[in-house]
Amino acid sequence: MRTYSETTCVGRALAVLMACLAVYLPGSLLFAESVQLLRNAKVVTVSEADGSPELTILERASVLIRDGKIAAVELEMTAPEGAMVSDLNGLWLLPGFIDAHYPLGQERGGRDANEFTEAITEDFDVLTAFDPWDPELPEILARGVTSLAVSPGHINVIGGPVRVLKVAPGVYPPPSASGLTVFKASLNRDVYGGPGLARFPTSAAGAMEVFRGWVDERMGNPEPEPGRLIVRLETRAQAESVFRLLAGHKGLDAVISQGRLLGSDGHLDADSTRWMRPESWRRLPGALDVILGPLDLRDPASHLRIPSALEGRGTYVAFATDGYPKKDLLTSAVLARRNGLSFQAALASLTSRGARLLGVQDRIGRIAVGLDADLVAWTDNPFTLQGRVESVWIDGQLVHGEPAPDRRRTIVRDARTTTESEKKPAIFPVADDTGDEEESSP
Amino acid sequence: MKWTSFDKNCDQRDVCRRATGPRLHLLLLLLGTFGNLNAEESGTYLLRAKKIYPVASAPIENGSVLVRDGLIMDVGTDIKAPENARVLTIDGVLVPGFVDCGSTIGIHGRAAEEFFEMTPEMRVVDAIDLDHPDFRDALLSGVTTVAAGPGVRNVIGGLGVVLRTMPGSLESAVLREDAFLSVCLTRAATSGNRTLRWQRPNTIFHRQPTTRMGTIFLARRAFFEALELSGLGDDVSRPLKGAGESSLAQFLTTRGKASLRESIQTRTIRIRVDDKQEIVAALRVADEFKLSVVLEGCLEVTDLIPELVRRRVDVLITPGAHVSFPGDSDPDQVHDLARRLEAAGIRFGFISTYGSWVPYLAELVAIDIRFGLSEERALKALTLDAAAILGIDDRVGSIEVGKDADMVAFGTDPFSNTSSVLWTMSSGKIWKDDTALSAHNIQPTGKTVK
Repeated sequence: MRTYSETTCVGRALAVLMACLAVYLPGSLLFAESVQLLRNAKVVTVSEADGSPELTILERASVLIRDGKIAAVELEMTAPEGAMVSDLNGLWLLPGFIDAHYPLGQERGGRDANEFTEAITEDFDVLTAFDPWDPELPEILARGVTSLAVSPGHINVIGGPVRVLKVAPGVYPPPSASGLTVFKASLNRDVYGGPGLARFPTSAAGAMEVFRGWVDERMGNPEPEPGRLIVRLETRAQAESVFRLLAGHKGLDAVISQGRLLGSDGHLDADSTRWMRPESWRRLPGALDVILGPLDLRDPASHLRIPSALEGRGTYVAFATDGYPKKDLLTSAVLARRNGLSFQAALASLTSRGARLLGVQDRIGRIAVGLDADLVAWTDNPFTLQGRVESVWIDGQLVHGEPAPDRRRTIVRDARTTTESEKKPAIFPVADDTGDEEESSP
Repeated sequence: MKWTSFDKNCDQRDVCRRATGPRLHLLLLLLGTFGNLNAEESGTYLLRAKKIYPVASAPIENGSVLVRDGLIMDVGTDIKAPENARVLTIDGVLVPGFVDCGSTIGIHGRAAEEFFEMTPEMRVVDAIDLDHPDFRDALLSGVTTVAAGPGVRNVIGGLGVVLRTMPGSLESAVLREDAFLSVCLTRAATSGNRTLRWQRPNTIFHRQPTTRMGTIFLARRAFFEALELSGLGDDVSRPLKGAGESSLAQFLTTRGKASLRESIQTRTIRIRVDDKQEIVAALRVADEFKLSVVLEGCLEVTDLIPELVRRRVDVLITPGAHVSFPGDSDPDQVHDLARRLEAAGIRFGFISTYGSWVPYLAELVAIDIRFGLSEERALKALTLDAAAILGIDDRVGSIEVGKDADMVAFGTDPFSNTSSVLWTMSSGKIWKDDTALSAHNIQPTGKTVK
């Protein structure tokens, strides 16, 4: 038994301070100048010229990374002076996957994403509540996902801005890829008040009225700020109404009128049978973009065929885990691929389409010159489900796996390769008091 | 239950043969995968039936109807089939598609916006799920047009919509957006409402009104507010007297005010009333604000029928009301309401009230026929009169040249329990239930009685 004394409290505080510094430093070092050459990799990436995905596969290629950005992708390249060279030995090098919808706080009881008091929480910022020490983040990295579109939950008609954050465990503020202002909105039944929740609205018509009021007000400004909405929908008719409403504001906002302006974030899980039915998906207005997922083997085949049916009509689909912990983003794409989606479309739905939908296509989503070096090395084709993530780089910095070129800058190491003692105290060395004592006593 | 549209893919003999169903369904599934059921061209049909009820004119024995591009091109006895027309011979009768005048069909969850008592700006079209199974069941039972309203929980509920039950895009389904404004003066608007004493509101049921007086007062205050009249004195600008600061009394928003003013000036105001005093109050309010009203419900209208005749007010009633709402043993609620309205010459239509009741519309109307309503009038109330009350009689409601091809083929009498819907045509497309047993396929299992 031990009691908490004054001194240990001070010691604790100091240690916490040190830990914070320790955490913050690597964060700032993340963007430190460096030149790296990854050679002998099988580069697989996908780009979309006119909506149709084009697959690029380069065998035994080299990727040059400078200042966290991709500086060159070539078949033969001599290493520039001072470059750190890593031989990937034929590993598959893919752009990091993008989880196109990741509601905040699902993993800790699901309480942190949904602000119940108001229907519109436009000024709430997910960044203020994001937890970079979430134990789930390293696991997400190990699944090949490098960016998350972190958003408020779906309990508010207008939830707030969506942030595209990179998966950098322990780094605060987390590196992000910001582009367009993207808002999370929802029109499904979860936004309704009821006997147990005295909140407006309580009906579908009321929710739409709130939504329409917000859009009118925002677009009614003399200089409306460009933006995009990710709307969670319940019915096809709502999709049509929303689409018509935003089309009516064309003259007011030049950016919103450009091309595909709307993502509709459909949610397919065990409950989805009582929400939008497969035939509804197929009759959606053509110009909508859709965020889907997570797909599951338990889903009926009619659901699993939806991505390929949407692809056939030229609808952009991006996959998401919807923030469910332990859900693998890749599985959604593999299941969709097994039900008719092409390889390049499936890969695009994991990478470039998510980026495009979130307005960050110039930052992430492809292996191309000028984009962030968010790369994942796989041992095999990920779509066979035999591929395993070997290493992950974020902004050119190795954050997962071996070899680690510079251990000081390695934020997180692979759970498989770290020893027990290394694992625990990386962030808060004093979290375990007994461990402290044991170290100091002999 | 599967369903399918027969358009180009079958010849006329196949329509009534069940074996083609699954094949067509598969084909349709393939087509449907890429979207557009609606893009299919409506074909040319020549429908021949033993008896046709055009409703707008006298019944035709052994008549024919020519349909092209979703419209009725010709009605008569001696029509020659044009080239490329598919000839369908119906062993039964052909009637116009039924029109349901009011329900909450296609709405998930609460139909009314119950957080507020008065929501004149809410639009039911926003809440409709076009893929709701009730639409499919309604279509397959012969109801081709429905009016969806915001339910009865609000004093001023919102704007109703008239739409087709046929699947399609919102644009093609909606016949009249914001067709009418729903007002409710019945006890349904107060039921469950609780007054606040010292608590903070923790449920949406903490709201006005809690009495019939309160309901009617709120409705009148809203009309005053919208029209910016000052006739109500101070009451216009403050909560109900006695409610004080803690009151949740709601005043109209700017949008609500504008919408209500527009409704008063341009739309039909549909007032839900059940008891006598509510009917009287509704008529008073209509006079006061010069509203064009349609009364809905009207369970106790019997003694007031002469007044309605004098004012030429249209009425919407629930078919077979005393069966539909068991337990009400009020002597003022009569079993033969429809018959009495018919005898008095009042124009009326039928409301299903709940979305799940829409498919049983004809069956419920049959109960009214049992209590004395004539079949001709029942059919008219289900089709042309209903369409006229909804303001869409230029498009649907009868088998007339130039109207939309909305028709139902019945085996025999549409109001008979032993008659079944052979198929429904909506906008020139034929819809049919693939899996339903037709009368011919039912095998007797018991003893044969001779």
